Parts: sequence; C-alpha cells; structure tokens
Amino acid sequence: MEVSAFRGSTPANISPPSHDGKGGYEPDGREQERALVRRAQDGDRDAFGELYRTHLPAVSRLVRFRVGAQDEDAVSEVFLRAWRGLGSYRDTGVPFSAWLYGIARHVAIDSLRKRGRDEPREDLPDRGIEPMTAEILTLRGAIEHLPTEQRQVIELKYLVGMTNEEVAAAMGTTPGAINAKQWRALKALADVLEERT
Amino acid sequence: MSADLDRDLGAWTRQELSREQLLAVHGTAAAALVAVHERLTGAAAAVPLPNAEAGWAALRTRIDAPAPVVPLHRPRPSRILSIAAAAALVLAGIAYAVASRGSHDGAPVVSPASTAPSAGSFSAGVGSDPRNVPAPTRRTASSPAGGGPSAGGRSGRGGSGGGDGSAKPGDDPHDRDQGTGNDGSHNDHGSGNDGPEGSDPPPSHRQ
Repeated sequence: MEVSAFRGSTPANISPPSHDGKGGYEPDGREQERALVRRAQDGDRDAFGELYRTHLPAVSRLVRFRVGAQDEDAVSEVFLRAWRGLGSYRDTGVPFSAWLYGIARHVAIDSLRKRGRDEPREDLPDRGIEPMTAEILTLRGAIEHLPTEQRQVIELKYLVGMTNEEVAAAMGTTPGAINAKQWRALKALADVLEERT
Repeated sequence: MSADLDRDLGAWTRQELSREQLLAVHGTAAAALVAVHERLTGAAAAVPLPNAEAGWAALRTRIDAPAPVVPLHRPRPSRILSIAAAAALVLAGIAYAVASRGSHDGAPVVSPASTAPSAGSFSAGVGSDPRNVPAPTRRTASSPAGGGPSAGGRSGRGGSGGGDGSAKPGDDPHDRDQGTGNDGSHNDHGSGNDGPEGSDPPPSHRQ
C-alpha cells in the first residue's frame, strides 16, 4: 500500500522522486487511504490498524521532535484520540495526515505539561527511552524559534513527510507558495542555528 | 531569496538537479539552505521507530476498552451553596406570597404593579415636586376608596384625586383608576384626572 503522506521510514518525501516528477501527489494512494478512513469510521478496527501502521513513523518523528524524547505513550495517545475522534473527521480535501498532525501537536503539548509537572524540564533529554541526540535537540530548539507558519511547513514537510501539494491543501495555499515558504523557513532556521552556535 | 533559487532548490529535492549543479549556480546562498535541509532530513531519519505490531497490539487493547467516563462538571461546594441559596430565596418568596394571599381572606389581590407604583408613575399626577409624592400604600381593590396614592395626591398641584373612589355605573370595565372613581380606561395612579395617562388633571380637579 502506498499512501501519499507517509512513505514508511523515509521522511520528508525528499527522495526518491515521485513518479509524476512534481512532488509525489498520488491520487491512488489518497483514494486508498480515504477508503480505509471510511471503513475505520464505520468501526473497522483492522482498517484503523492499517492507518496506524502507515502513519506511525510520521507521528513518532513529530512526537520525538515536539516532546524532545521518545514517548511511546504519547504516540499511542495520538492514535487513541484519532480513533475516538474519527466520527468528527470530514474529508474536505485536506490529507488525513494533516488531521493526525493536529492531534499530535495537542498530545505533545499535554505530554510536555505533564512532564513539566512531574519533573524539571532540564531533565527531559536524559529521561527518554532513547537517548536524545544532540542534533535533534539543537534542531528542535531552533525550530521553536520560528514563526508558526514556517514551523508548520518544516514539520509537515520534514517530519510528517507531506508533499508540497498536501501541505498546500492543509494550509490552504498553492504548492508553489509552499515551495517558497519551505525555503524561507529553512533560511530562517539557518539564521537561528547560526546565532545559537 | 530569488525565485530562481526557490525553483532550483525544489528541483534539487526532486532530484532533477544535482547538488553540485545547484551550488555551482547559486553558491553560498544555496549552500546554507542545503546544509540545513540535509541536517533536518538526517535527524528525522535517525528517529527510532517503535515496533508497529507491538504498538498496534497495545493500542488495540486500549481501543477495545470502553472509553473512560469523565464528568463534564464536578460539583463544587461553592456551586452547591449558590444553588441552595437560590432555592431558599425561591421558597421564601413562595411562602410570602401564600401568606399574603391568606391574610386577605379570599379578597381579590391587586397585582404588585398597582400596589407599588413606581416613582415615575407617581410623578405623573403630582408634578415634579418630590414633596408631593405620597407614600405608596398596600391596598386591595375592595378597600375603601380614597386611600392610597390618590388621597396623598390631593395636596399636590395635580393630585386632586377626583371622585369618591367608588365604582360608578358608567365606569369603564377596564377602569384602573385605583379607586378614585374617574371614568376611562387610563391609569392615573390615583390622581383623578381623566386625560391620558401621565397628563395633568383638569383645572376643576386642582386645588
């Protein structure tokens, strides 16, 4: 099965190039995902299991970057909330992954609040299941300094793995505008990283 | 950033343009972006992924479990106190109303609107002099005429209070003169004039 938003463990749809050569928009994959979502909305747990397997890498990356640590409970919570909220999901052309992204953001915020109550924030990096690499910490800290829109573009492109077309649908703009926003966001990120070194 | 650079960076990520070609054309402007792009790509790829099957099995258990019931509103002491106080006020009001009705022994009760006229409605009959404002008194429709606001109104400029307060044969059935006995359906609040509500009484009614 090939779903447009996520391609297994390959993030950011950077490589390989899509078969249409224009950023990887795959109508067949989208249609297949729509069918899975409809089945899951009707209570089909196996269909939701397929969605889980497809979107797990992206949700894991997003939670890892947002929370700052490997947090399998948070990842699981994203899908649990998705399952319980499936009835409210409407296919309006925005990818299902964008809907999951919104849930993951909220779960990450809740997880950080909980961790903040339970333990000092500075202890977080060393307390995860997997040791946090310095690179991810550095990038995470720099991304937090970006304006919301640029941060969303970076996360949707590099962590969720959306194509420009999918990000454009999620943000209500054109793929060309997303391409430009992505590089402006990277320029801003480069500036932040340079300031912090 | 130039549009050319945007376009060529896009082409590079789609592998339509090599890294060397991109850097040759755009130099350092592209180099910094390429470096950040590759750092992000590498970091995202380095995130360890949980075991999908084990994760799904655990999630499936949680999905099959009934969702926890979370009460929308937890009762709080302050809310209970507020509700109790409101209930006590309502009960006290009802008890007072019942007691008042019982004390009149079956006589028809004039509505509060007519037994406690506002200051504004009094001033309609007595002018603007506050000294002429009579004290409102409680009375029923069957009480002797002449008492109440209209009686006090006689001392004022417009408060002559026409009529003896008893009902006349020609009285309008909707008469609301509050016992002053004038005709018409207007409400003069006892001042006795026969004009529209709030108007001065006729000169004959003035003292």
